[in-house]
Amino acid sequence: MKVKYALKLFSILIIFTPALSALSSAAIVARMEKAAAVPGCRMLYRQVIKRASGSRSVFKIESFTMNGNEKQLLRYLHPAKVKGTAFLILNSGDDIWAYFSATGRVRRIARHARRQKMMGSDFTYEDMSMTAFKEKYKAELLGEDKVFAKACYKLKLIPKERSSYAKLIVWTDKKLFVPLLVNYYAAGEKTAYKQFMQGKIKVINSYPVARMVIMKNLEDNSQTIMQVLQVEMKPNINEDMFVPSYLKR
Amino acid sequence: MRFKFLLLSVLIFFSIPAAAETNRDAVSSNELPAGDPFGEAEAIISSSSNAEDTIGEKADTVSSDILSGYLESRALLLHSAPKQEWLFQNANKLKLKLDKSFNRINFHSEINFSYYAGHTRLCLLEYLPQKQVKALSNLFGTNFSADVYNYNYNNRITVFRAYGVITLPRVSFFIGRQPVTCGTGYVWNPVDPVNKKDMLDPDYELPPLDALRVMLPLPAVKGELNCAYGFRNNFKDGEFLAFIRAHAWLDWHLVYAYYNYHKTDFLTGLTTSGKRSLIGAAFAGQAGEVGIHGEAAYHTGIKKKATAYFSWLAGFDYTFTFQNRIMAEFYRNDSGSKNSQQYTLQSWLSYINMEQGCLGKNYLYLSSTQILFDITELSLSALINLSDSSYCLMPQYKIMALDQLDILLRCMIMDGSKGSEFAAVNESGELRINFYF
Amino acid sequence: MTIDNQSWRRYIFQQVARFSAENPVKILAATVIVTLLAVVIASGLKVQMTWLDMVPQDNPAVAEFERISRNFGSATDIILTIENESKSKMKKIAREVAAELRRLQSPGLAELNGKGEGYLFKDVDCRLDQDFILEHGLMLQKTADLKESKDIFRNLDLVPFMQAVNDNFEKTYIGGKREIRGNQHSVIQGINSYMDVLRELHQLTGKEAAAARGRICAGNYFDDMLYSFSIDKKMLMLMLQPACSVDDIKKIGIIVPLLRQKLQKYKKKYPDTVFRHTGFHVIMQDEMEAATQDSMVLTNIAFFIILIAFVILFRMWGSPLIAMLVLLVGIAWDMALAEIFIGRLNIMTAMTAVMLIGLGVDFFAHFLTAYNEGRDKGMISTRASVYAAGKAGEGIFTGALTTAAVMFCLMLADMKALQELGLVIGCGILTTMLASFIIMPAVLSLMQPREKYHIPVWVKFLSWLLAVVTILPLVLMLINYLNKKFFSYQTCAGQNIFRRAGSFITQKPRRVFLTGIAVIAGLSWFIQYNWFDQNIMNIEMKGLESVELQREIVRRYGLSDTPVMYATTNLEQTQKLHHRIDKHNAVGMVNSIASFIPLFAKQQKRLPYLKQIQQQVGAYTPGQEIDRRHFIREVNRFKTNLLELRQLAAISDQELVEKRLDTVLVSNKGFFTTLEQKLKQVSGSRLSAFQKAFGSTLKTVLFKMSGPQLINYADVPPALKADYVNTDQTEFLTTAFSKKDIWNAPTESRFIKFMRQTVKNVTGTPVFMVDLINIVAREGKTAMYISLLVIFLLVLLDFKQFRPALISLLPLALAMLTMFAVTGLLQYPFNVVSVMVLPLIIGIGIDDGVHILHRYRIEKKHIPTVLQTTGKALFFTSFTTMVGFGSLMFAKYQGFVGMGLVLFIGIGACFLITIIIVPALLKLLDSKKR
Repeated sequence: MKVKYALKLFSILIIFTPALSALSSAAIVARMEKAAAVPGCRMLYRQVIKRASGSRSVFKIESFTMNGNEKQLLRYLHPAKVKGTAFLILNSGDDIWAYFSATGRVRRIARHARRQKMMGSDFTYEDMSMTAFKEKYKAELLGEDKVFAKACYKLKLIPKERSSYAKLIVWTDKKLFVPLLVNYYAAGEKTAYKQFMQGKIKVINSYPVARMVIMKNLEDNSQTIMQVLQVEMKPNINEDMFVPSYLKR
Repeated sequence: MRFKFLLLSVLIFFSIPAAAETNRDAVSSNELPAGDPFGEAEAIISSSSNAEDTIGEKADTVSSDILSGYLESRALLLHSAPKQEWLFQNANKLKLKLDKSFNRINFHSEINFSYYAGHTRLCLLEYLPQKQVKALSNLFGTNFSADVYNYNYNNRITVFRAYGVITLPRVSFFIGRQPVTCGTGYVWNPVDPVNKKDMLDPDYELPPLDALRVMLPLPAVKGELNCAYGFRNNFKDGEFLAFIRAHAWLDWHLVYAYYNYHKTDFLTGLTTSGKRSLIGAAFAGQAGEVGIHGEAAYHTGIKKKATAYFSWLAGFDYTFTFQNRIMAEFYRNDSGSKNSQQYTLQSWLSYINMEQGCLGKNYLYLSSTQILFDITELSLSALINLSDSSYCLMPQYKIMALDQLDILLRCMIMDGSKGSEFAAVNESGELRINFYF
Repeated sequence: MTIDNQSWRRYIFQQVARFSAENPVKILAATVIVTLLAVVIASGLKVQMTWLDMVPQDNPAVAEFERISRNFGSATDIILTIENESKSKMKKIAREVAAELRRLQSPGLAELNGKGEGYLFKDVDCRLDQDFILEHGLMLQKTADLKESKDIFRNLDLVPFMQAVNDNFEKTYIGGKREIRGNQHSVIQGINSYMDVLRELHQLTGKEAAAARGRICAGNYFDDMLYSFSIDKKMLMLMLQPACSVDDIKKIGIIVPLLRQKLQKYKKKYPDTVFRHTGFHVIMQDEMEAATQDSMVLTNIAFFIILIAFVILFRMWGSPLIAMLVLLVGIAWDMALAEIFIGRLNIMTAMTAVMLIGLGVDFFAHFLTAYNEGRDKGMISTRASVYAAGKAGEGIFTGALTTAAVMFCLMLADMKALQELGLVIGCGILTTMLASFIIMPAVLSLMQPREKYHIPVWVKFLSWLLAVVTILPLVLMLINYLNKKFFSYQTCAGQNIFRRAGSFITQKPRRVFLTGIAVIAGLSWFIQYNWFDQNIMNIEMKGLESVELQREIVRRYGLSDTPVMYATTNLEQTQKLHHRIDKHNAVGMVNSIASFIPLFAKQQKRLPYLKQIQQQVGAYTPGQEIDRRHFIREVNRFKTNLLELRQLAAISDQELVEKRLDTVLVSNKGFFTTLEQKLKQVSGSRLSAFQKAFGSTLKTVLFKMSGPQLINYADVPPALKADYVNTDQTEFLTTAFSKKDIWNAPTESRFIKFMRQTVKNVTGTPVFMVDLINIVAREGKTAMYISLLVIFLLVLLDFKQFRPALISLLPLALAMLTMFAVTGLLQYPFNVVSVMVLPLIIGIGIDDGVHILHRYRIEKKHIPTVLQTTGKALFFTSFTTMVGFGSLMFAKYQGFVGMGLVLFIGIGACFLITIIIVPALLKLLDSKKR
C-alpha cells in the first residue's frame, strides 16, 4: 500500500519537478528497485579475486537474471576445475541450489549459509540480494553527496531480518538510481569494513547496467572485481531456466 | 622580496607534513573510497588476465624475444642532365630486428646491412643547375672526379636502432639509439628538428638518435610528456627535445627543442655550428569527414648568432567511398629563399648536405591514392616548389602481393624554369622490392 | 656587525687548534689513553633489535604486556617444530625432546639467577593431559559438534560409521547448522581423521594383524587430538617456556644458543626429521647477531668508500687516512657514552657507527680543505691549522651544533628508540667534532715534513699506538712512508668544475632558479603516490630462519601468528569473556582456561548429548560381518562428497580446504579405486577383525570421554593451569587470535577494534603496533616541527638576520619535497622506521645552506669563489653522508633499507639544490637590491 503510494508519489514528482531533490527515502528506495528490476538479462563477466597476499584468482562466469536479482542462474566457465559448476539463487538469495560438475549432483545450500562468502573472497550470498531493498531494509535519507563525481542521495539502510551487517550506507545516483557506493558496517563499529562500488554504468534498454562491480574488504584490502564482458537484455527470458532441474543442463 | 620568500618557504614547510599525512590517509579508512577504485580494478584485471588458468597463482612475468626484419632491394635509374646518360644504381639492404623483452625491460635493436652496386659514386653536379656548377668549378677546378664533387655509397653495416625501454610504475625510460619523432605532417615536420625527412620519399625510415628519453604519462590529457636528451656527434654537443603528445579532444603536440645547427661556408670550408631553440605545436583532427592537420614552429637562434625564423604547415586529407584518398599539404619555411634567383651556391650545397631543410619558401604537396583490387595501390603525388615554380611528379604503383612481399614501382618527373630546384635532374625511376620475414 | 660577534668563536677555535698543534705529543698521549678507556667501556654494549622500543613507555598496554609475560611465561613461548612424514614418529620424538629439555640446566644461568639451579625452561608442553581429555574430551566439544558426534557414533561398525560421516558431510549443504565457511580447519580435521581410517583399511591387505591395525587406527583417532599438529599433519609444535622475560638480553644469550646445541644433537640423531625453532626470544637473539654483523660490515664498507673518496678528492694519502682514524676515535668515544648513558644499542641506534662515519667525516673534510688552503698559501702546519680553525671553524661549529641540536630534540619524543637515537647520534656528532678540532691539528703537525719539530721515537710509537687502537697500523706505516715520498699540496680535484658552475649560475641566475623550481614542482606531482606500509613483518629481517618459520607456522596452522592477550581476575568473568569473544566473526581462535572449563550453563546443555552418546556407545557391540558392497558404496559416496567440497572450496576461495583436498584427491590419485579393489579382495575375516578391534577400542575411548560429569576448576590438571593461570591462582590469561592476517593493516583490523572495545586492558604486540603507527603519525610530525623550529632559531642566532636564515632553510624544504617525490616515484613505502628518521634529513641538510651562506659573506658575495671553495667541501660531505646512510640499504634488517633510501635521497637532493638553486637565488636577490 505504502509502496504503491510511494510509486504514485514519484510518478507525480517526475512529472512536476524535473530536479528530483525532495525525494523521500522510501521513494528513492523504490526508484532504486525499479532501476534494478531488469526483467531478464544474460551477462558474461570475469571475476578477479585479489587476496590480501596479492595472489589472484580469475573466474569466468555466465549469469542469467530475472526481475533484477530475484532469480539468478550463475554458471562457471573458467577455470577448468570449477567449469560447469552452477548456482541457482531464488527469492533474492533465500534459496540457493548448487550443481557440481565434478559429480553431477544438485545440492541445496542451507539458508543460513546466506551470510557466508560465496563466489570468492568478498561477496556473500546476502550481497547478491542487494536489490530487494524495500523488503529487506529500513531506509533513512541522510542527505545528498557526491561520489565518483556524481550527485548522489545518501541513504542509511538497516536490515530488517537477521544479517551480518548492522547497517549499510548507500550512495545512489540521483539520475539513474544505481547504488554507486555501499559501505557495510558491523555491529557496534564506527568504520565500514566492506565497500561495494559500481562503475562504468551504461544504460541499456533504459536499464542502467554497471559494467564494473567491486567489493572491497577494507580490513585486508582484498577485493573482488566483476568486469562485465557481455550484456544481453532478454526481456522475455524463459522462467523454466530458474528451476533446480535445469542446473544439470 | 623578503615576504615572497617567507611565503614560499612557509608554504613548502606545510606541504611536507601534508604529504606525509596523505601517506597515512591512504591506509586509514574514510567513508568515501580513496583514489580511483575502477582504474585500480582495471589494472588488477589486466595484470591477472594471463593468470586465468591458474587459480590463486600470481600473474607470471611475460618474457619474449622475436627476430624479424626485411630484405630490401632498390633499383634506381636516374637521368643525369649534364652527361645526358642514364645512371643505374642498385641499393640493397638487409634489416635485422631483434626484440627482447623481459618483465619491465624491453630491448629493441635493428641492424642494417647495406650493399650498393652499379653507379655508387654520385656526382654533385648531377643535382646542381649549370649556374652553380660554373661557380663551383671556378673554386675547385674542373676535375669533376675529385672527391669534393662526389659522394660515395659504400657498403656498410650500421646499428640502426639499439635501445632499451624500462617501464616503471609511473614513468618509462628509453635509453640508446632510438627513433624520436613528433609532429603530424606527412612530408614536412616543422616541429621536429631532429629528423630530416627526404621530401621526395617521406615514408622512408627516419634516422635514429642516440638519446636518453624519459616518458611520463599524463592521464589528464590522454597523452604523455617526452623529454629526450640526444647525444650528437659523440657526446660533444647534446640536443634537448621535450614534447607533449596527447590525444584529448584531438591529437596535438607541444614541442620545445634545443638543437644543433651547422652552417658550412663552402667557399672557405669553415663550419659554424651553434644552437637553436624551437617552440612548436602540431595538431591533427577531424572536421566532419575531412581530416585536417597542421604544424607551426618558431626557431630562435641562441646568442643571436643565427637568425630566428618561423615555419608552419597545414594540410588535409579525405577518403572517398571508392577507396581513393586525397591529401594536400602546404609548407612555408621563412628560412627559404623567395625565388630561384636567390638560390646561391651556398644554399644549394647546404641543402644537399642536409644542413638546410629546403631551398624555397613555399611548398605544396598534393597526392591522390587509389586502392585497386585490394592488394595494389596506385598513387600520384606532386611536390611543387611554389617559390621557384618547379615541380616533381611522383607516380607510384605498389603491389602488396603477399603479406610478406611488397613491390613498389615509382618514378619522378621533374621540371621547372632554369636554375629552379627540380630543374636540374629531369627524371628518375625506381623499383623497390621489400621482403619481410 | 655579524662578523664581529662571530669573531670570539673563531678566536676560541684558533686557540684550541694552536694549542693542539703546538703540543701534539701531549694531546696524542691523552687521546690514546681516553680512547683505550672508551673502547674498554664500549665493549660492554649489546644490541637489542626489538621495535617494541619504539612504543612509548607510558603506554599502558606495554606495562600490561610486561606484567603478563612476567606472570604467565606462556605468553611468550619459544616454539619448537618437528617435521616428519609419520605422525607416530613425530609424537615419539616430541615426547623425548620434551623430556630432555625439561631437565636441561645451565650453570651460567644458575649464577645469573643467583640460585642453585638454572633450568632453561619453566615448562615444556608437547601434548595435552591425556587423562583429562579422555575423561572430559567430549564435554569440551561445541554443542553443535556434539550433535554431529552423536550421529556419527551411533553405530561404530564400519558401514554405519561411514554412512553417518557421509550424511554429516551432506548436511553442510542441506539445512544443517555447521557452516561450509566456518573454520576451515575443523573441516580439514574431519577430512583427515576419516582419511586415516580409510588409509588403514587400504593397508589391510598387508600381513600385519588386522586387529592391531584396527586398534591403532581407533587409538590415533583421539591421540592425535592431544598433540598440536599442523593442518597437513606434517608438523608438530612444542611450546617451551623460557626461564626469562623477553627483555633480558643476557639470559636469552645463554638460553637460545644452548637450545641450538641440543637441536643440533637431535638433527644428527634423527636425520630424516627437521627441527626448527622460533618465538620472541629466538628472533631477538637472531636479530641481535645479524644486526651486530650488519653494522660491522656496513661500517667497514662505508669507511673504505669514504676513505677512497677522501683520497681522490684531496689527492693526498696521509691526511685523509689520519682523519678517518681520528674519526673512529670520536666514534669510539661516542660508543662509550652510549654504554654509560643507555647501556645498549636499539633498533635505531644499532647503525650509529655507520651514520657517524658519514656525518662526522664532514668536519674533517671542512677542516682539511681550509688547512690545505693554508698550506697553499705557504703557511707551516701549525699556522695552517690555526688558519683552518679560523676559516672553517664557525661553519663546522654551526653545522655540528644544528645537527646535534636536532638529534637532541628527538629526546623529547616519548618513545625510547627515538630518545636513544637522539642521544647517541647527538653525542656522536659532538665527539667527532671535538676530535676534529683537538686531535687533527696535532696529528697533522706531526705528519708534516718538520719545520720546528724533530720527532722523538717514542712519539712516533705513540702515534702508531693510536693507530693500533683504531685499527690498520700497517697501512698507516705505509702511508707515512708514502707521505714522505710524494706529499703534495696541489689544490684539490674538481674545484674548477664548481667554479665554472658558479660562473654559469651568475650569468643566468633567473633561468637556473626558475628551471630548478620548475623541475622540483614537476617532480612533486609524484608525492601523491607515497604510501605507508603498516606491515611490521616487512621491516623484519629477511632470510632469518626464525622469522621465516613464524610465517610458515601461520600458514600451516592457519592462525594469525601473534595473539592479543588479557588477564582476568576471576574464573567466571574469564569464561564469559571467552565465550563472547569466541562468537565474533573476526576472531579466529581463543585460548584460556575456559577452553577447558566451559561455562556451567553450556556444560549443562551438553550433558544430555553426552548421556545419549554414552548410552549409544554402551549399547554398541561390534558386529561380525560387513556388507561389503554397501561399504564400498559409502566409500565412493564419501569420495563424491570430497569432490563437491573441493569445487565449493575453489569457488568460495577456501585455499586451505582446497589444497588439502587436492592432495587427497589429486596427489595420490587412484587411492579410492585401489581401495575399492582392495576392499573387494581382502578376506572377510580380516575385515571383520579390523572392524571388531576398531569398534571396541573406539567404544572404550568414547565411553570414557562421554562421561557425563561436569568439569570443575579442580579437575583441570596443573600442567594446563600453568599456561593460563598465574602461580598464586589470582589471575587468568586469555589469548585470542585474529582470523585475518593481523599484520597486514593493524589499524584497520576489526579484530583489534573489537578486542579493545570488549576488554579494557587488552595487550600484545599487535596492540602496540596500532598505537605505534598512530603515534608515528603524530610524533613524526611533532618531531619534524620541533626540529624545524629549533633549527630556524639556531640559524637565526647564527646569522642575526631574517633573510639569510630563511634562505639557508630553503634548500632543506625543497629537498624534503624532492625526497617525497622520488619515494613516490619509486613507490617505496614508508614504514615506522623510515618515517622516524625524517627529522635527521632536516638536521643534516641544514648544514649545506649554512656553509654556503657563511662562505657567501666571507667571499664578499662572489659566487664562483664560493662554489669553488665550499662547493667541493659540500659535495664531499654530502657524498660521504650519502654513502654512510646509503650503505644501510644493504642491511639485512629491512627497516634500515627504507631508512637508508630516504636519507640517501633527501641528502642528495639537499646538496644539488644548495649548489644550484641557492646561489642563483642569492644572485637574483642582490641584483634586485642594486
